Amino acid sequence: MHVVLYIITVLIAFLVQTSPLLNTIGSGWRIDLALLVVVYFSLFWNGQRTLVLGFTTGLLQDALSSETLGVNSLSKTLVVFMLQSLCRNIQIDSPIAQGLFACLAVAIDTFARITIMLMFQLNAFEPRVVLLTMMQQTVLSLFIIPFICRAIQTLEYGLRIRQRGDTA
Amino acid sequence: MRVLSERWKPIALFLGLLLCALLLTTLRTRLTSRTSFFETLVLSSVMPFQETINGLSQSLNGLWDGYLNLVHVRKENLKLQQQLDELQGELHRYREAYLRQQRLHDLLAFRSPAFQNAVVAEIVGVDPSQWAESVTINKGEQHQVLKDAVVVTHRGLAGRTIEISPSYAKVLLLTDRRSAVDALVQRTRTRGIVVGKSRRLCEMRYVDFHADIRVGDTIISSGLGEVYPKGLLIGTVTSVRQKSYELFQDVEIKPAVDLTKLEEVLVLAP
Repeated sequence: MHVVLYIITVLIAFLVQTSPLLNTIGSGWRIDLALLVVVYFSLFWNGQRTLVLGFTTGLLQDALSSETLGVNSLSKTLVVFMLQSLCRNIQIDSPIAQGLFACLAVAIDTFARITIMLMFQLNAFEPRVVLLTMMQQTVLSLFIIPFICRAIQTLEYGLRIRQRGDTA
Repeated sequence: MRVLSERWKPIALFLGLLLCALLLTTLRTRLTSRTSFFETLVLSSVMPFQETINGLSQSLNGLWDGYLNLVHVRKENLKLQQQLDELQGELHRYREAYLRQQRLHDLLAFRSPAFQNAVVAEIVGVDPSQWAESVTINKGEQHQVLKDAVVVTHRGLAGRTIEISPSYAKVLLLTDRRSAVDALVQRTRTRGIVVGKSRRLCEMRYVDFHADIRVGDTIISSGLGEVYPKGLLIGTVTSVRQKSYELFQDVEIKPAVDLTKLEEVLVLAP
């Protein structure tokens, strides 16, 4: 059932992200829903499978995107590892904590990407563009992650992966 | 000993996955000529869902406008009101079809004798990454769309195809940082290279410091590089900055095509 949940959430995230109808919020603002889904799995699921899920999500995003294969898979694996290491002793049911972890995930994702671009001498962005995109992504993620967490938890209750009253 | 190995397991897995990702990136940057089987598979699996959802939302919009927007219906006008709403719904659908037909007519009228085999395609998806500017079109190898085919609208140049699968293709837009078009200033024939800068802007690089270029100048493709034919409209100059200590001018260009609102495009056969 965990696999079914993963497939459903990631498929919905990618369908929304690649949709020409819903692709922007405001002028030029876009959100990485796949990253927020990975944040949820990192915070609420235990075990090494979340590392594999993060890697797989990144790989799927690379395949759908025009970017080089491996960029998103590396950054999302790193996000999962860092978040799992940091969230052990934190109350992650709090929307504030979820928002902060989402912001951290955006920062890790951005810096991992820039590092890969520099390492492989791929075309890099201007610092101004990087900063602007990262700020947009951070603000959007801060507000949207609690809803994402609630939606996936509702799905977990529906699929009986989680019982009501369970803490993370 | 057992506790120690349990502790190192996640770290070992993480390092293993990291190495896999780096290996994939290395291989991909070296072997960029063909679309990989995995990417073809994922694109062909996800895009049909996207097309279905797009079609469904358009039908629901028509249904809402035509049938569900019934407010303040009075008994004596019930039948007429229903007919009126149905006609409004039909009118909305016909209007949308007319606008689409107009766009396609403009697109097809743009086809010159040199590009009689051009293929009309619809945008069915956008790049899921915030760092890339590309779209997915609903034509691929089966429709004679090739890699590095030029993609245009009747307003001007939009981009080129970079990845092809049997039924879909990815188009790298002009505004992507990896896009580069050899270009000319139409008025003065000053040369430069137009590269993507942000979501709505491009910049023209390597424009000589003493070159005559001003705001409002039209930029067209030069035909060099064997990808983009000569004379395709790229955009207009929106700002020119000269710094005395630099060799080149900073030129910003607004693309002629609004790349954030693409619906149909023309893929030119080479």
